Amino acid sequence: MNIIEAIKLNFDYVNREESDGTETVVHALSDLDLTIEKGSFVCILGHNGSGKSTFARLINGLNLPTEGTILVSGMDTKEEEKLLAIRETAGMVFQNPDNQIIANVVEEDVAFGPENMGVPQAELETRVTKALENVSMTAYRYRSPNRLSGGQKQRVAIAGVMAMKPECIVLDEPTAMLDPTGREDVLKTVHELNRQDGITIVLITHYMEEAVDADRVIVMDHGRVAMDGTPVEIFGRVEELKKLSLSVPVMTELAFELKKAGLSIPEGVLREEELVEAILKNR
Amino acid sequence: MCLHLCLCTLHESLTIMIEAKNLTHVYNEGTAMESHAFEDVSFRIGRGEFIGVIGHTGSGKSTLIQHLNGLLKPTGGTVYYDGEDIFKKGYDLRKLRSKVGMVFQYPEYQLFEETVLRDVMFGPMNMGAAEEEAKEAAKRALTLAGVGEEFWEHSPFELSGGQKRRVAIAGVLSMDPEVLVLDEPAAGLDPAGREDILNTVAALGKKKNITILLVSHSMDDVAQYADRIMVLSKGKLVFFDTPEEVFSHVEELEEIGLSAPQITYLMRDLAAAGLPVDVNANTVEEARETILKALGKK
Amino acid sequence: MREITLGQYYPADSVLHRLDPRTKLAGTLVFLISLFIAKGFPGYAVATVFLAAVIIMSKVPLSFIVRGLKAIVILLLISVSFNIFLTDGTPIFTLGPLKATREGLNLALFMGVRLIYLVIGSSILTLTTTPNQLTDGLEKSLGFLKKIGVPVHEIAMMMSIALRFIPILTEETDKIMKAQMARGADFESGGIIKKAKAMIPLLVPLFISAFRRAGDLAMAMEARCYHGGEGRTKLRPLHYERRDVIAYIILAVYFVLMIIMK
Repeated sequence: MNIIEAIKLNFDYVNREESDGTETVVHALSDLDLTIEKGSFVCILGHNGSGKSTFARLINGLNLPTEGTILVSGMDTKEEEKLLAIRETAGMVFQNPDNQIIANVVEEDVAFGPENMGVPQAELETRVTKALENVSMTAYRYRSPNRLSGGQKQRVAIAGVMAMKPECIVLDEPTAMLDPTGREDVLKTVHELNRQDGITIVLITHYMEEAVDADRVIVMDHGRVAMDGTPVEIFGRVEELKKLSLSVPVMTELAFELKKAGLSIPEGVLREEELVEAILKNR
Repeated sequence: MCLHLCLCTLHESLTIMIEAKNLTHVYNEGTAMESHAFEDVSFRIGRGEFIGVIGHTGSGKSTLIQHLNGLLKPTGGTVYYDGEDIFKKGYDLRKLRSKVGMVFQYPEYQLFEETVLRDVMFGPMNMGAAEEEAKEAAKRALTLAGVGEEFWEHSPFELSGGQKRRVAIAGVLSMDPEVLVLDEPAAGLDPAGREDILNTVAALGKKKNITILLVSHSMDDVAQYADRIMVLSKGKLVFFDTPEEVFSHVEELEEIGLSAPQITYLMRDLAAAGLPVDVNANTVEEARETILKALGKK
Repeated sequence: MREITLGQYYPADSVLHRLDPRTKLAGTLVFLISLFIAKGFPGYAVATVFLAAVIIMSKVPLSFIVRGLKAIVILLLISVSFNIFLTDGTPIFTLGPLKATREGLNLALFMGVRLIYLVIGSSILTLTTTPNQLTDGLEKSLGFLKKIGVPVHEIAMMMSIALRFIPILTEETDKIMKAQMARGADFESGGIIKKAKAMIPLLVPLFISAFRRAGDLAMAMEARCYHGGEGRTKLRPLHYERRDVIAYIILAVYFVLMIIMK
């Protein structure tokens, strides 16, 4: 079953030049066809300006398509009365941890979404408790968000979405502003939510290493899908990725170089153990 | 242990640019909230060196670098620039700041002028340069930072993220610094943008013999460029040595929550399996060479 | 930097801290009104006893409370001297052209005490109530204004968001200032015009950043189904407890007493 379905999706925005007043239309998405299966962990890669963030905002109905349709659990984002239901179904986490926390106490921020949905108070309590457990932030329930680290803030933001009981979470570069520890914590959290609670995860990132454990990797370029496949398939195409201003995980790059030099290395090496094994077989 | 390491690994032939002596910074000294940013840190940095500064959030590295151009005053110890104590009374800190340029994290957020060129001229003008002189300096800096001439008369706010960052770096370069400190210059950029910025920085060091201090979370980034790596943890200088030497202490690095570059782990595992590779290789290029050699393919 | 306590909240575990913010708002209002009703010595005596009892119950050290008076020292001196010298009546002594009167002295004394009590009374409110509780309390107590079209919920939401972003923007100001100082900017020397001009490199980036944050936040709120106060529930709705009822009774007694004393 598909939770997200984009059909001939187009999104244009107008860029106005301040100096001479000329206007240029930018096609952020052009005829994008893409479906995302329920329960999967999908990673969307692409350089800055490839249209991946625009796609995220369209899923959530924060922007509406110029042309084409996007369906979330069968609901069309263009139908205004469905918007709240769509946002409940596909929650969103943004890049900047500071700019998406609204309340002054962690638990109140987690409750913000369900409060807006009008969830009764007794249930709010259980939802907040559960959501904080989901992201291992229970100990910080009564703290001020200002004292948390970047990674902790992002986990609070994820809890805020979890409290809305979504089926899918779209994360738009959630780790871009974090240090390695924070990045690892956030990644571990989303993988757990996917595995244990069956939440569909759409992770937008430009850290290649984060895509290694995804079920499916989609590479976007110029508002279209440029590559689509499993991590092994995608990272086997090193030269194509480089042409799209992307890199590959370090191990994959070394494997690629060694193969070019004549060693026998299988396709799609992503991890260190795999490469050690492959190299030793060349003895 | 560390002090000994730091002082002896500085190459004899280099002139010392910056020396920190027993540098200590304590927040809220003497109150109940007293906490150490870092303690008793000493090191010497030579002209033209490329130094990688590694440490966790909260290791004290951001506080430390702000002492190198006198933005923060230490609570103990001092910093010498070109042999002179920068915290001594009457020392011209403003002039020092043109010599020790500092590029903060997400520097594009400091842009404010109407055009790219005017923004880059801000530094030289503050240092007392005449309009024409400042303009020339700005143009040189923009070229060095890789900002094409077609953007110079644009508003900096119209540029893409990567270009904005280059303009911000040019804004510091235009003061003709001898030392350039960059705090996570590649943060938040996409892979191509990261590589571009880091290559530009490395080239600057070579071309103009500028001493570079690159603050980063990424061992992989630093391994590629640095002559020496400074590792800070909980306000202490733990290592300050060549990448090979620092990465040979994998266990100690992990103990303080850091790690060696991924290639280092691969080389160690290969060596442990009996393949005679050079365990000091830490970039893709070096790894390729030594693996091919060990397998007799070269 | 991130630890600024706005409205100088003093964390402690006291009855006063636990009272519903609405009760405290009402109490503060009653106390302020009572000070204007009180005329003679007996009235002030009752007010003093009441205030002293409240201070003791609040568990806030007296030094903290007195600190709030620093801001009004000058105002206090001016109004007291005006009263002493500009009231007609029996002269006591003269200072050059100025003539101090007995009535003036009397008036000045009450005036001074009233001003001090006003400040202490309202600072007890902010010392024992977190800014959040205060916002909540205001939203709930002023709810009736919604009927005449005052956007009470929106105002309260704005106050709460402002509270969250003030420390973030303060830190950002510090960061931008340092970045510009690293480029040789000088924020300290020069006359007023030079200083004002020097602020441009600080204010432009700060405004741009504030607008960017506001845009981001609006989007994040929308993504979390925010659509105004309509139909919203609350995780921690305000509840009156037994202690609040008792507090209201005490307040009523106090107020009646003050009216009688008048």
